[in-house]
Amino acid sequence: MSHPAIHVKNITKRFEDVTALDGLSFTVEPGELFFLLGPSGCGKTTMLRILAGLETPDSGTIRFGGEDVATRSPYQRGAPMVFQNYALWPHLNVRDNVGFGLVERRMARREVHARVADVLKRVGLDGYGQRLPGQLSGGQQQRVVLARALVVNPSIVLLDEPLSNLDAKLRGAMRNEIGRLHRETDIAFVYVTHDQVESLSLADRMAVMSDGRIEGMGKPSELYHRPPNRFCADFLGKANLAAATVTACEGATIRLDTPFGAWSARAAAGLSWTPGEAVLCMFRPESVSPGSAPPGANAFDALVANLQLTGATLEVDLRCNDDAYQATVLSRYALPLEAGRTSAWHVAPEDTVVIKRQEEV
Amino acid sequence: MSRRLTSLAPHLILWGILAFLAVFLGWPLLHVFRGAFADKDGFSLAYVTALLTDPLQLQALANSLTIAILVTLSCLVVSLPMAWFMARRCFPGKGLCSALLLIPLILPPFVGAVGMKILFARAGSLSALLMRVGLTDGPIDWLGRFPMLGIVLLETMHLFPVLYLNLVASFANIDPSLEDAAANLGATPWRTFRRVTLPLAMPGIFAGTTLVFIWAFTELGTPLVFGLRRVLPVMIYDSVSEVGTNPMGYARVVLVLVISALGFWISKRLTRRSQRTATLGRLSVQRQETPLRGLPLVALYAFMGTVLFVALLPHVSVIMIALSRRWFLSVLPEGWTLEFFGRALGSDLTQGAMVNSLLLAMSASVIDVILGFCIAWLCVRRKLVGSDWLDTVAMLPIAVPGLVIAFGYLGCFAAHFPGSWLDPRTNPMALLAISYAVRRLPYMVRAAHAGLQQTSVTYEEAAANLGASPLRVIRRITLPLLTANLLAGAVLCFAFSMLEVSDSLILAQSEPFYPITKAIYSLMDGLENGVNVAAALGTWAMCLLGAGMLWAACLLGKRMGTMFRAG
Repeated sequence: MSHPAIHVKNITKRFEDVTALDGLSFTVEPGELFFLLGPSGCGKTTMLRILAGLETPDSGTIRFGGEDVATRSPYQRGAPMVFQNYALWPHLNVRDNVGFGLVERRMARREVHARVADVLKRVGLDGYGQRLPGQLSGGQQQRVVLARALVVNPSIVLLDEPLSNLDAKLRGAMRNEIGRLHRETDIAFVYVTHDQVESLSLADRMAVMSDGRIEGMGKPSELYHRPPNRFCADFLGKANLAAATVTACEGATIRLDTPFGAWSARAAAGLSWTPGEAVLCMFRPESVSPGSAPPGANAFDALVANLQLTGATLEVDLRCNDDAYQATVLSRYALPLEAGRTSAWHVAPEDTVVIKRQEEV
Repeated sequence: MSRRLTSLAPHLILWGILAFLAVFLGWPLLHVFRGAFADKDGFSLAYVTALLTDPLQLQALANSLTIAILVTLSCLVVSLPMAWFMARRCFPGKGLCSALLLIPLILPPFVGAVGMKILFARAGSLSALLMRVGLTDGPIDWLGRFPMLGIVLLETMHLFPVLYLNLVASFANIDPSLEDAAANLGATPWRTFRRVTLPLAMPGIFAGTTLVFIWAFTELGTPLVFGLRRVLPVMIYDSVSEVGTNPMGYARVVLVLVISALGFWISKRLTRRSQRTATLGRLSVQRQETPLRGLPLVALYAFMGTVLFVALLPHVSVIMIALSRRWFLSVLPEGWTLEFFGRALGSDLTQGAMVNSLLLAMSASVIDVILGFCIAWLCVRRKLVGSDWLDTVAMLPIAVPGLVIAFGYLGCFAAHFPGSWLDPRTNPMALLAISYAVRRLPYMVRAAHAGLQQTSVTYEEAAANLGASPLRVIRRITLPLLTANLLAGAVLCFAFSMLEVSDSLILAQSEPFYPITKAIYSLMDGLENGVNVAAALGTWAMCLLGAGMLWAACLLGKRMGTMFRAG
């Protein structure tokens, strides 16, 4: 039986009065690109540092490939990390920086050189071996850090906000680069970020964190389109939310009483609803379409408060019963929309998500 | 290394260092206190009362305090304008000036005093000059008339670089945008300086003035050479011979210690608040140094020129004494010779002194590098139980004058280890090296501390993360990254150990163990041109130190100032 690359169970960590991690559990499969996504201060970096052994959890177990590593020192973990500020040693040139881990593994000089040259080629830094870190651009430094982690042939690589120090343009390029490097290997990546675009576009699977807890875990598309709670809905993109009451459950279809009238939604697997339950009804701006509803669709009338053309899309601010909603529609010439007019809108039941209200304020 | 040992090692090092400091810092201090406050019947205030009621002693205290306060004030007057211009303006010759300003540090003031004597004593140059131009009839002993003035002048000229370096560093650390904001809101340059720059630089000013105050208050060599016996340090020196029998010496030492500690404590209290706010200002903008032109530039040149001329006068006269065949009641020496430079290297005494000083200074530097690095590492990187203590204790020698430590060593090690390698009467070398090291430890800790804080901990985490054990991380990452700081700290420690006066004068009691400073002191009273040989030996020492300081300055660059910070 094969073990997961990382198995984390019930990790708790307190810093004085602050609970940084509150019973975190997740697994990462071999070769998977797993994201820890959350706002700053949610504990994601602490979790990564615990995986690297740089912090000690108060309780919980950590297994790498089935082996308990909780008591191992950082240097015995074998999970190289890509640090947010790179941490390239300024007194060593690129070659010695990259070869550092191999030297620590008591590898022969010759082989160190060969493998460093090989990995530098892979990250596109062939011939940069003699440079000092200070002589490299931000993007090049980023590549060196990746090379330094990959060269030791690890089964796990940890990345701590690796793109946060790069400008917007470079960030996109490096994001693709990291995706490519990951696909070329069978290494499990644990990638920490607060940027949901990075996470949605790269992740095989992801965990959304808030206040030391995992709020939702799954594939990016699942989490985006069927968020399990309000936090995930808000954090992963724009979300329209309305208070609603469940009126009936008919197999996969749930009937709702909303401020817009009777709506229906598709039930998510694994959740049960009872008639009369107060819930939230969520739909993404891009699933809102203008015009009168086809049969079976959820319809509502709303005042167009503001229109904003972004190019490919048109951002529409809607008002209905004093609540604000948003719609994102493809900007087509002569769309019959005008600010200050009330018009008809609709959402498909498949795009309408029911969310539990437990944490509602 | 086994896991147990790896996790235990930091604790062992921590407690080992604490034990070392307890024996070589805590115990001597305790001994001094016990000597001052205990008689046969137990606790007694008799000696301290006797000290504080004897008009002679009180006058010595008053003299010492007057010297210290005057020296501190005049150092401030000299350094403040120069430091501000150095930190804020650029002008031709700035690099040369900043190097020249460090030269006064390379000569112990009491050696300079020998030079001053030649210039201003009864048979000195000034008398000769005034007689020749006919302003006076007979020779006048300027130093005899104003001994305090001479001491204050000499010590000021020796110590102002310490304050100057502190000030430059604190001015440079102020975020330029804070001053820009003041100017933007309508403050003139002068009001910006008074309302923004000066308050923000207060920690550095207090730290520097405290150092200078304690230094001047406990300076032994200069008053000794000028023949001013009625100051506390000299009276303590005179009581060395009766250390075991007369407790008055201990009482005087306690008085010096209490006043020094008080000065240090007051400056700490006064800066606590401003220190917190000053660290808020990070350097967000690169500072643009405005070029200085016209009249202000001329004025600055004139000011610096005067200061440097006066500050280097002792050095120049010492070199001239070393070169002169005869210099008595004449403006300049009559006849030149290189003979004394040869003799300064030739005799058993001087050769021994050179070797001793080199050996001692090197041992002290090595001890300090090891201790300083370990302490800084334990305090910054491992926050073990007890590392706060360690930090406090290691910084303590700043407030403890060398005089006190030397006196304490003499008292307790001679009494408890008679005849052993720790008995300064039989062989003071070990204690001298240790006392030098303990005295300079704060500077070394500071240097290593600053280095570690400027070095992101992630460098070490990354190394551990890639499989380097704690020892390997220190060897491959931490130490290489700290080389400049540690080396510079070691060089300064070396330089100041070579210059150390009070420890050397008190602890080294027989000729084979004399370090350079004590050899110079003993040569000065000698026959057969002893003064000339002493001056030549002083010149050799100056060359050695000048080279050392230059090297340290190159290694540290602008960070030189951090070495002398006291807070």
